Order: sequence, then structure tokens, then C-alpha cells
Amino acid sequence: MKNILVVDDDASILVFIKEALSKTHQVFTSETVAEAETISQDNSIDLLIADLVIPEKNGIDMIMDFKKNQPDIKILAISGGGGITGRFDYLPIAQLIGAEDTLKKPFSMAELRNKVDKIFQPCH
Amino acid sequence: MPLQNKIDPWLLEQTLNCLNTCIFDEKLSIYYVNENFCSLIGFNKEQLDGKKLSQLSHHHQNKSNHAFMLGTIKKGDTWKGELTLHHKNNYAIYLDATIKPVKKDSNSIHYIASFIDIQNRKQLIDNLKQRAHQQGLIAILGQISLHDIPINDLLEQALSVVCGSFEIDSGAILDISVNGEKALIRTSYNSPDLQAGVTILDIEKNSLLQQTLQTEQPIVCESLNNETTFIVPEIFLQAGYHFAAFSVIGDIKYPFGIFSLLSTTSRKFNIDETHFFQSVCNILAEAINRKNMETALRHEQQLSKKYLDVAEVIFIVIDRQEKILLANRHAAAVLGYSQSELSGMCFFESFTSPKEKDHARNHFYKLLNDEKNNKQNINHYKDASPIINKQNETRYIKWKNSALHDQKGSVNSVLYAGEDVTDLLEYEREQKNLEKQLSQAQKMEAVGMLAGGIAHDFNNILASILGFSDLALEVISKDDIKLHKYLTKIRTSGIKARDIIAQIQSINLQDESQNKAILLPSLLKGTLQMLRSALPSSIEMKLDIKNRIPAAYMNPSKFNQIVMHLLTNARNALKGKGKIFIDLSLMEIDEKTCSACQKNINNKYVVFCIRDNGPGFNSTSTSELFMPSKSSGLSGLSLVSKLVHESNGHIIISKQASTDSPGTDETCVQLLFEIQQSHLSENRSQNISNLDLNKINNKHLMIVDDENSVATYMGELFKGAGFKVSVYGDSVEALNAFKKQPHDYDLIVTDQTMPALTGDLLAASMLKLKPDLPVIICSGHSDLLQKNTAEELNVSALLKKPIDSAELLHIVVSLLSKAST
Repeated sequence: MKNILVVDDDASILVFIKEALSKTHQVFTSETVAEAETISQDNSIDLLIADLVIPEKNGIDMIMDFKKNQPDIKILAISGGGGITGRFDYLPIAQLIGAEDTLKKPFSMAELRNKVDKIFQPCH
Repeated sequence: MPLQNKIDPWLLEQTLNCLNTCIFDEKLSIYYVNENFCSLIGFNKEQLDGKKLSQLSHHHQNKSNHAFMLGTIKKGDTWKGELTLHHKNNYAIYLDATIKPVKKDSNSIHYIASFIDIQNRKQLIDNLKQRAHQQGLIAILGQISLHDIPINDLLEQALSVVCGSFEIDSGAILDISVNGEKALIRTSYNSPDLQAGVTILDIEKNSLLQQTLQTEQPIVCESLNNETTFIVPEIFLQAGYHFAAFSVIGDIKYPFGIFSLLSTTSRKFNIDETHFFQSVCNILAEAINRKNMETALRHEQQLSKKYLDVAEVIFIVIDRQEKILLANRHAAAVLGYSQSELSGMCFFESFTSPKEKDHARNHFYKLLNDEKNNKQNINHYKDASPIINKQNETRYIKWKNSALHDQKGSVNSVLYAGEDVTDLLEYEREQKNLEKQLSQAQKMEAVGMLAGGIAHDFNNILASILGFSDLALEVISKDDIKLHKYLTKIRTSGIKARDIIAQIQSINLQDESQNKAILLPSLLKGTLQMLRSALPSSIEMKLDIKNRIPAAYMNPSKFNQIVMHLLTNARNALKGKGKIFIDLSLMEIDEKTCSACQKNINNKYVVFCIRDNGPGFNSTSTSELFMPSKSSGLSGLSLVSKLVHESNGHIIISKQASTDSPGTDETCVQLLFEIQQSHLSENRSQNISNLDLNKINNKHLMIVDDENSVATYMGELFKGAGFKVSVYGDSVEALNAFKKQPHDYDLIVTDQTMPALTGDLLAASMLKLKPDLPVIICSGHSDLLQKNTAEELNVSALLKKPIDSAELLHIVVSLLSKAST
């Protein structure tokens, strides 16, 4: 039972992910980075599921900040693919800066659950 | 009183004294002289006593004349003629003599001589002779000067003629210096002191030379030593000259020179001699003037000819018979014949095409016959008209034509002045093409970006659709089959949508500028997804992509453009209704030639084929299809062919029988791409693969930024990404560190605006040491970067602040993975 924090500006996605993972984990959601930071201060977060394209802050920067404050935090980066400009894919960059895994939207529930399980049990 | 037979001796005496009389005896000694004779000859009676006639003769006396005289009188005949006698003062007296022998009786013969002084007459005759002689000389000189003789020769001739005629020792002709202060001997006659081209005289104030230049008439100085009105140049006195005659040659305002005559003996010039001297100078002045004018004229003519030839304008004069009268050098160059060959050629026959001939002739005759419109006789052709030259090339000339009139004012020829604009037109056409290409490329890019942005948003939406369908499927009861079915359908549609969006996204995420190994099937699918909507639904598109098509080595973004053009062509050909077949397969192509570049093709290719059952191309040869033409515009095959060849491919156009609807023809365009044998770079939706990320581990980055927060942030960013990082806040320090070990660093990220050494200069210095070094410059709005693109700055990338860290990381990874291949 791990603490998962999901940050995405799309509210429906937040609902979906929460629904998908609530059975097995404690899921916190936030539409803004600021709120996410608050949540992470009050709770010890094990996994951050972060959308890379949030208007408020660059996803990469967000991940970096979280990692700085909590070096052990695991990251699952999600993205619609290309960035705002559509010029290149952010997901590999996330991997570069230390995200454990990436997931391209739209993903199925099964894909999501698999990825999360893999992160928490890497040997399996 | 009545007429007397005899007269008084005194009267006789008086009569005798009217004449100059002398009576000689038979030995021709003086017997009697009268007073007049004495005063004539200067001797008195005593001195003449006993003198013989021969003794009285002057040495000028003509000897044969004298002999004849003697013979005549000895015979007893009267002799009449000229005698030259010797005056007491040693000069010659010219006399008209009548000598009559008289015999009183057989013993005594006396010769009665009567003399008339013809001194004046002689003088007059001599003068006349001299004048005539001089006139003759003038005439001769005049004649000579009319011929095309060099001025110097003329001057020499004149000098010798004048000196000879005057019997003067020496002479010289002097040139005047431009400032009027010195005179140089130009040519001289018989004068060792005055050497041509060497001796220079000063024209001093009040000197002989200066006076000469100020008076129109010649100055004659009979005695140089005694001259007081002006200063005599020393050199003349030293040379022993006593007499000088100087005259200006030409107008005193613009003198050509000075004519000088010098004599060691003293003499006078009479009026005639002075006039003669002046006339010679006038002739010389005229000759020199005329020569100068001729030279100037010739010079002008040469200049004009030069202008005519140097001008990059074609000048042709055509006469009434349509023949070329004159052609300048440029005309010869363009028309392909030499200037002499062109002369006489019929212009319209030789240089206009059959189509143009009548039209051209009409214009010509219009000008030729349009006499009323004398002022406005310039004819402009608005467009360039074609001419065909010797090499059978078509050149386009913009003509400005003008009628030429003869002296009477009637038109006898037409001047064709033209500019060869063939290259200019070609260039303009190219430019237009390039502009269209550029705008098209820009449109493509814009569309791509739009598609990318939309795709991104769509993914988010799809995430919801997919996600909630999944959730719903999980929570519903297994017994609710209908609901299960419906939800599954929603899910399936979501998945389909996801794939479509992924393909669209794949187009965008390509590296545009390079040929690389591309899996065409997915690229094609993606492109067609995007372009499908451009076709009306009345046009059916059938896609047949074979399996196992190997990667082709080609340029993906160009491929998109190509497909777009071909689809547009097909759509236009079908006029809104019909079928388009698109095939992608691996084929062996034998014994075909590329329709554009005519290269022979004999190999296996990945073949993209687009067929439509439209009316097809309307031309005789396929190569003509690839010529740029106004009508086909952008989708013209010339552009497609260009893109195909730049993508390392070839194109074959053909007509074949339709398999779909037998009996009709299909236009078939095949694009052939080479198979890429070596390593494959997969066409995934990310262009950085895990392969890339592994390669770039442990690379060393240098960050240079004078703003501490930025530098630190970047340092941490890159460190987090697994790079080795060196951060510098001072550009000079950074450069020094780099210089010490240039090969230690794999990539530089630098700010632009820094004190002492700006980013672009820092980059330049570093690149000198390591030319392949990837350098990224981050510039803000306030940076005054002269050059605005990475290329101009010679760096790998130029990022504008504020920097997106994801983009920065992405670029760094791309650059590093490119560098290590």
C-alpha cells in the first residue's frame, strides 16, 4: 500500500487514475503543481505520477524539484506525446532525468497498473 | 615754226642730255659720255676716259648676253637688251641698252649707246618674282598641310622652305609650355645652338619671346645687338645672330608655338617678306588646328565605338531591305556571328522564328514608314521577344527601337537596341519557384505543428475515454453482456483513435533535413491520415501496402511533401470523381529509365506507386512533363522530381492499362527509393531511443552563464540527467579552462550576454580549437546578436530565453547522440 501522488491538469485523467489505483494504493491527486507540493509536504509520497505538460510548470522542472526534496521518490511520467509545440517527445527526457518509467497517453487501465506494479516491484 | 631738218647744236646737246648716252669707238672704248650717264654710273668724265665697255660691266652681267650683244653690233646691227653695269659704289646698275653702230665713212665706226635705268623695274620684277615664288611656296605648303602629314614633318618642311626662300641662316619652331613660362625647341634648321627637343628658353617679361606671343604680326629685329624695345635672349647674342624674325603660330589667345628666323648677317624684311612669313605661320596654324580637330574627332569616334561595344546592349541597325547595316560587339556575341558576318544578313530571316517573323516585321515596317510621328519614333516592346541565334538557342530580348533618319529627314533605317533578358527571366522563374516552394514548406510545417498540437490534446481526451471504458468494464457485472459489448466497442474505438493519432504525431517528430533509413509503411500511413481529408469523398483512395518492406534510405519530411503534391495532381486530374490507388511494395525494376533524370534503372527498390484513372498527361515526351511551366505551377512534376531526387530516389511516369476498370488507361507515377542496408533507425514516435540515452552517458558538459541562479539550475538539471558538468560564471575563465583541455568537453551551453566575452565570441574561439564541438547559445530579447540563426553563428543551436528545460535536454541529447555516431 503505497502513497501515490498524481499531478495532471486534466481532471478526468485524475479521476480515472485514482479509480484505477485506489484498490491497491493510497492515491492523492492534484491539478496544480503548487497543490501537489503541499500534499507532498503533509504526506510521504512513494510514487509521483506526473504529466509532463502542465501549463504552470515544466514537467521536467517539476520532477527535478520533487527529486531534490525527496531523493527516494519514484517517478512515472505520463504525456500525450509531443509537447506544446508538438516538436518532440518529452518522455525520453523524463527518463533521462531519472523517471523510473514513462507512459504515453492514452493508456489502458491494465497498462497503468502494470507499470505501477513494476515500479514497486522491479524484480518481478 | 615749221619742222626743221637740222637743229641747233645746243638743242642737240639738250636732247642728248635727256637720255643717258654713251658713244664708243670701234674698239668699244668710251668716246663720249653725257652728264646723265656720268651721274648714272657714278664716275665722272675723267674717270671714264679711255674705259672700255667691258670694263663697265658688272659681274652680274649675263655673259652670253654680252657675247650676243658684241656679235650683233659687230655685224652692224642695232642691239637692244639688258646690260648690267658697275656703279662706282660697287653695286649693279640694271639698264635697258640700245647700242647702234654708225658709220660715217668706211674708216670710222662709232657705237651709240643709249641706256634706260631699269633699276626700279627690275626691283619690281624681282619683287614680283619673289612674291610669285613665295605664293607658290605658300600654295605648296598649303597643299602639303591638307594631306595627312604628321605635324612635325609639316613644320620641318615649312622651316626649310622659309629659310631657303629668305636665304636665312637658321630657324626654329618653338613649343610653348602650358604655363607660358618656357619655350622648347620643337624643330630647328641649321642651328647647332637650338637643338630640337633639348633646348629650353625662358619666356621672360619683356623678352622677344613674350612680345612675339602678344603681337599678331611678326616681329622683325634687324639688329639684335641694338634692340631696345625688348630683351633679347642671351643665347641668340652668344650664337652671333644679328637678325631675327619671330612670329606666333596661331591665335595669341591659344598659341600653338613660335616660328623664328635667325641670321648672322644683318638684313631687313620688306612688307612682302613680312606678309609671306605671316602667311606661312597662318597656314601652319590652320593645319595644326585642323589636325587637332581631326584627332579630337577620331578620339570621340573611338570613344563612341567603345561605348557601343562595351555596353551590354545589343545595337543593330537594319536598313530598308531588312539587312543589317551595323552590329555592335554585344550583338555579335548574342547572335553568334561575327560583326562582319552580320553585316548584310537579313535580320528577320536569320533570327526570328517562323511564328514571330510576321509580327516582328510588322513592327519594323511600322517604324520605317511612320514618318509623321517623327518625335515619338521609339518603339518599346513590353515583353521580351524571342530570337534564335546561330547556335539555335532562343534568347529573349527586350527591344527599344528607333527610326533613323538620313540628312534629308526621311527614314532609311531602324536602330534596334536590345537587352538580352533570357537569363533574367530564367532567374525570375527560378525565384518564383523557390518562393512557392518555401511557402509550401512553411505551410507544411505549420500544418505539422497544428496537427501535433491537436494530437497532443486528443491524447488527453482519449486517455479519459480509454481510461473510463476500462474502469467501467471492470466494475460492471459479467452478466450484463450488452453493456459489456457497448463498453468494449467504446474501448476499441479509443484504441483505434490512439493509433491514428500516433501516426499523425509520427510525421512531426522527424529530423527534416536528412536522408535516413525510414520504414515507409508507417510514414506513409501517417501522411495519408493527414491528407485523406483533403480528398473529397467522391474520390476513393485505395491503399495497398505490402508486408515486409525493408527500410528505405530517404528524407521523410520531403516524402510528405511529395505525397501531397502527387495526391493534389491526382485529385485535379480526376476532377472530383474517381479512384486513386496507392501501392507500396518492394520491386525489382529492370530496364527502365528515370523519367526526369534519364538515369538507367536496374535494381531492387522500395516502390511507392500512385495511380489514377484520370485523363492523364497531355504531352509527347515524359521529359517535357518535368519542365517548369506556368500552367502546372507548384504541383508540377518538376518540383516533385526535385524532391524525389533530393531524397535519393527516382521517378517513373507511365500510362498503363487499368486492372481495375479494363478498357481505360491509368496514369501511373512510381517513386523508387533505395533500400537501406545498414543500421535501421526505427520510425517510432520518439526520436530519442533508449539506444541514444545509453550512448550519451558520462558525457562532459560545460555550462557558462554569468547569472548564478541560471548556471546552478542548469548544472543540477544536467547532473540529474546523468552528465558530468562543469559550471563557469565567467566566460574568460571558461575559455581558459577549455583551452587547457579542449577534448575533455563534449558539449557547451553558454549564455550570450556576458561581460568581457560574449557567448558568440566564446563559441567562435572554442570552435577554432574543436570544430565539431556542439555548442548551444542561450540568448534573450535584449541580446544584440547580429546574426539570428544557429547557422549564421556557426553553432549547433540557438535557444531563445526563457529556456524550456525539456527542450534543452532534448537538444543536448540529440546533439550528443549525433556527435557520437
